[in-house]
Amino acid sequence: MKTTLRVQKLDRPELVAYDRILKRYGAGCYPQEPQEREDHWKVPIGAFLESRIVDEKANRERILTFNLRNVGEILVRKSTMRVMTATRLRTLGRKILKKRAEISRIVEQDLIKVFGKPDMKLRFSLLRFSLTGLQPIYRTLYLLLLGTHPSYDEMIRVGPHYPEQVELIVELDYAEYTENNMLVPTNKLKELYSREEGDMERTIDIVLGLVLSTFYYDLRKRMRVAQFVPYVRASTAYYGDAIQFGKLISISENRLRNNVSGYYRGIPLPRRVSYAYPVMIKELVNAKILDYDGDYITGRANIFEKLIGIRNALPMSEEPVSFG
Amino acid sequence: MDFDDKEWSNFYEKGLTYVRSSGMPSNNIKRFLRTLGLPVNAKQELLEDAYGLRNLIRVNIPPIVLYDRNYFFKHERGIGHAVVLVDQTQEMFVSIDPSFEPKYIHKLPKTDFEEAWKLKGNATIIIYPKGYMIEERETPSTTLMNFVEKGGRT
Repeated sequence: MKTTLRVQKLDRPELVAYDRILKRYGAGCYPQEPQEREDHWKVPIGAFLESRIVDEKANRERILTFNLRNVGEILVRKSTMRVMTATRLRTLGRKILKKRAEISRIVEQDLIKVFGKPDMKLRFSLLRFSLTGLQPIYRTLYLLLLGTHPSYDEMIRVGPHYPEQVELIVELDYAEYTENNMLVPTNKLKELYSREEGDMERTIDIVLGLVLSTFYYDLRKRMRVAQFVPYVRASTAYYGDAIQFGKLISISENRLRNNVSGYYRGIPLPRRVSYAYPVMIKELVNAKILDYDGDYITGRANIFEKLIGIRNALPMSEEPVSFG
Repeated sequence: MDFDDKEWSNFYEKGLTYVRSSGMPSNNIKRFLRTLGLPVNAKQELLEDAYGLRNLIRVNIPPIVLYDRNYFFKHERGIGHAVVLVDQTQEMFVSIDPSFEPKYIHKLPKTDFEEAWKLKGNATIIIYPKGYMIEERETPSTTLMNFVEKGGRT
């Protein structure tokens, strides 16, 4: 049997690029405006990336599309209309992942900024596991508020990491060294303490929040203090989804865990995460970063309000489609 | 046909992985069909217009078409979506669209569909038995432009 089909001649660079895209990369990619070069056209490739957000309690699903531009390029020779070079699928995939990681970084950075706001009243001292990494700061603040002044020599005797972390409080002007190398609280810390009506835990929480929000990347990368990283990642994964959804959502613990691996794809989760996730979530709820909604996990309205502005900065191509 | 049969499990497992991991580039469809060992060919074409689709359906070759579903529903550019056209009426194309599970059959008004399909370059994937002959006749994609340039002379 014979059929005749009338097909388009590939005589335009965007059509050549399109043909190639559909054959090699799939329908999620598209050619952008061709750029004129001496003997060829350069056709940059953009990609639409789907993101599905589910509110498990309400049983509603939203599908958003991110429009990521310039994830690859195809060069089309003018004389022959053939593809000279094209980004390989592997590279394209990596670039898409990289752009996606940028999106989660925007959320993470803003969330960390929110951690530093005293009016949020977050209880960082209840993140027990994360405190094991920030013991020097916690202990020193505790001692300073009790009126004990540790010396530099005492601190260095514990280990070089100890004064290194204490230096962060000094940089934030909550403590200073005297001439004989004793650490004393500054007026800023005393004022904060009296403003919080002598509530030691609350004062420490505020300073810890400020340390985290100012030095998160420094602590993680330079000082290799990583105990609080899973907490930040879990919070980012939750609020990242909620921001995309447009309101606070209720999701199960398993979905949150999958979200974390989705947001931080390629980065291994700490071993503790695999067995102590319920404990971690409970600590985040105690710290007033997340909340329980029956069997589900939800967020806090005060944090969400501060973050919702990011929605405009995300490269979403259109308003989401809702199901359910 | 027994779809719970063991030989279909390969299709479900492998086929779905291909689609999920790639957003379905047509090269992967070819590769996948080869692993199945069925006597079929596959090709991807940028058709000139919807007459090609009508012809294909008429000769019992259901084409897989790639169209801009966001544009179809909301007139906003978005991600490409693939459906199988299985039938047609005067006004509609009848498609099988797995994303509407469990109701797979979805009717697409021809005029709206053609607009959304054009945004994806009229891309069509044709899977046809090896005995069939599909001859391509190339038409320049800038016909109208040439026509105007030549002062209306053909």
